[in-house]
This record gives sequence, structure tokens and C-alpha cells, in this order.
Amino acid sequence: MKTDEQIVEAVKDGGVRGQDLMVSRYGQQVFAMIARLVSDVMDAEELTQDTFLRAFSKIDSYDAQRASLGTWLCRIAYHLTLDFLKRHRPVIVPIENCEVWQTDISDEQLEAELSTGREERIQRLEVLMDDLPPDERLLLTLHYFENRPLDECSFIMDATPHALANRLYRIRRKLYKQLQNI
Amino acid sequence: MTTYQDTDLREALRRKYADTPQLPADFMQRMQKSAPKPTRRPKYAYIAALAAAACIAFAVLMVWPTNGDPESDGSKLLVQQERTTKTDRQPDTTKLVASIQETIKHVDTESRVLPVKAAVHQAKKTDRQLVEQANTASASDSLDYYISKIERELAQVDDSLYIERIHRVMHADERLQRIVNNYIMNELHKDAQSHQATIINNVKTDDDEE
Repeated sequence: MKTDEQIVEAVKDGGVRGQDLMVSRYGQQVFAMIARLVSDVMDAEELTQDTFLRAFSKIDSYDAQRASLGTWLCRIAYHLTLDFLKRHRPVIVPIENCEVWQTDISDEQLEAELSTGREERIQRLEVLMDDLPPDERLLLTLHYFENRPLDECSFIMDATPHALANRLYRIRRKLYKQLQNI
Repeated sequence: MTTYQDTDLREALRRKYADTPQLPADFMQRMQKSAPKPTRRPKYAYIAALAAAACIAFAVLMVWPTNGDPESDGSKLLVQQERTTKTDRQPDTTKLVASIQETIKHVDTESRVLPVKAAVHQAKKTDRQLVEQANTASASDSLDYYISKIERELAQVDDSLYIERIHRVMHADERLQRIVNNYIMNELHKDAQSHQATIINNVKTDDDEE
């Protein structure tokens, strides 16, 4: 079992073996992350391929002190996917969504409202997820689905943990408001 | 950092992404087909780059001394001129040549840019003095000022710029030497003319006496 450092060294050396190891270890993880943002599987595959090609060419810039190899790959994938989505489908934030950014609901209240265990709420949230912009959807999946801490999410999404915490609050609040409108 | 439970949200996400598609098994093969072949990093490239840099530095060092060498350029002309005119020259002309050679040596040592760091340490005049001198003196007098300025600039630039600047200085030095050579040639020409005139006068005097 090769360590991340060994894989990185093998890729730096320029051999196919190192690339093969990196793809077999992190390919599915990267692909799954992209597939959650991009509806078309072919696009997701292509973006995964671009992610690894970018990683191979930029392997010298990888800093093991800052993030694990998997997180670094997710960061590349995130930026490539966002670029792709911007090219293919511009993200338009409806004005009504801006209105809910006002802070008049506490964290505790939001947590209680998003932890009811009621079936209709879960189903509704599942649908609402599709209406979220890709970066918001990714933040939710990274934090809630993949259980990544905000520090790691902040590296992937190139934002400070504090900014991400604020963004997460706004997303939860938006979902809460939409649930109230049912 | 606070971690929210938000169990409804987690459950919704778990259901939504329960059936994430799998990466095709032949993904790596397909990627390798479409991607450019990885090339082994040529370690010799670094050695080649170092060797090239060393060659350039060596070439500059080899060219440098000849540029300001008293045996080359103007001095060679002088020696040649001295050889051709030595037989019919008076002792005064030899003195003149010697003094001109001294002048050339002086100008050469002034115009030659010494190894930068040593040269900077050798600079005795302060900036203020040099600027004052440059303001009050003629262009040729202020040569010291510009040479000091060049030395200071060269001490601050990195290797790549240093070589390029040195080449420019060498080019300027060639022009400077041409000015000095012209001066020497004119002096020699004048001297030769006056010498010839003296000889002619002497001959005439002899004829007159006869």
C-alpha cells in the first residue's frame, strides 16, 4: 500500500505507474464529487479526466502540509467544475433569495427546524437541493454528506472557514424559508 | 467550528446521492489514450543549464580583459605606428608616445568595469560628490561619475541582467577606445608633420648655405 507521498513522488518522476496509483485511489472520490454537481455522467467523466491531467501537470505545486492529496484533487475538481458550469449554465441568483440573507433566525432555531425527522420535510429538502447553485450544493455535500470539516471545505472551495460558516448559515436559512412556504 | 446536526438535511443528501455513478473501469486507459505521454523529467537538463551558465560566465571573463587590454586596440595601433616611424623620429616623439601610452593606460583602467563587488568597495567618492562633479564638469570629466553609477547598478542586478549589461558596457567601452585612438592618431599625425617640416627646413637651410 503506497502512501500519498510515495504516489506524489511517483507522479513527479513522470512514470505512468504513479498516475495509475493516483487515479485508482482517488478517481472515484473525485468523480463522485463532480457527478453531484454535473448532471451528465459524460461531462463528469471528462471533468474527472481534466482534474487528473491538471493534477499531473501541477504536481510540483502540491503541498502536503496544507492538505491531503485527496483534498487537493477535490480542490482542482471543484474549480474546474465551477468553470464548466459557468460556461454551460450561468448561475443566476433570484432576487427573492437575497431577501432571506437577513439574520433574524438563530442557529439553534434553524437546527431544530432542519432536524425534525419528518418524512415530507426530507423529501422536500431533496427536491430543493436541485435548485441550489452548484457551489452551495457542493458545500452541503462536502460538509453533511462527506462529513468534511469546514477547514477542509475552505481549502477545496478557496474561502476562509469563517466565510464558509456564514455561507452555510445562509443556505440553511434559505432552505428553512422555503420549507416554511410549503 | 460548530458542526450542525441538521438530520433532515443529512438524510435528504444521503438519499439524493445514494446511487452515485461509478467511475468506469477503463477510465485510466481512456485517459492515457487521450492524454499526452508522460515524459521522465530530464535531470540532465539542470546540468546542461548550469553548464551553459558557466560557459557564458567563462566567455564574459575571457572577453573582458581583452576589451580593456593595453596590448589591444589603440595600443596595438600605437606600437605599430611607433615601429613604422621609429627610424626617422626625434627623441621628442618617443616622449610623446610614452605620455600618450600613459594616458591610454589611465583611461583603460578608468573605463574598465572591475569585478563588481570589489569595484563597489573601491569607490571612494560619495554620491553627492560625484553628482556635484557631474553637474559642474564636462561630459568627459564626469566619466568617473557614470562609471561609478554603472558599477553600482551592476552590483544590484541579478545574473541574467548582469551579462546583458556587461555587454552594453563593453560596447560603450569600444566606442570610448575609438575616441582615444582618434586622438592618438591625430597627435601622431601632427607630430609627424611638424617633424617632416623641420627636416624640410633643415634641408633648405643646407641648400641655402651651399
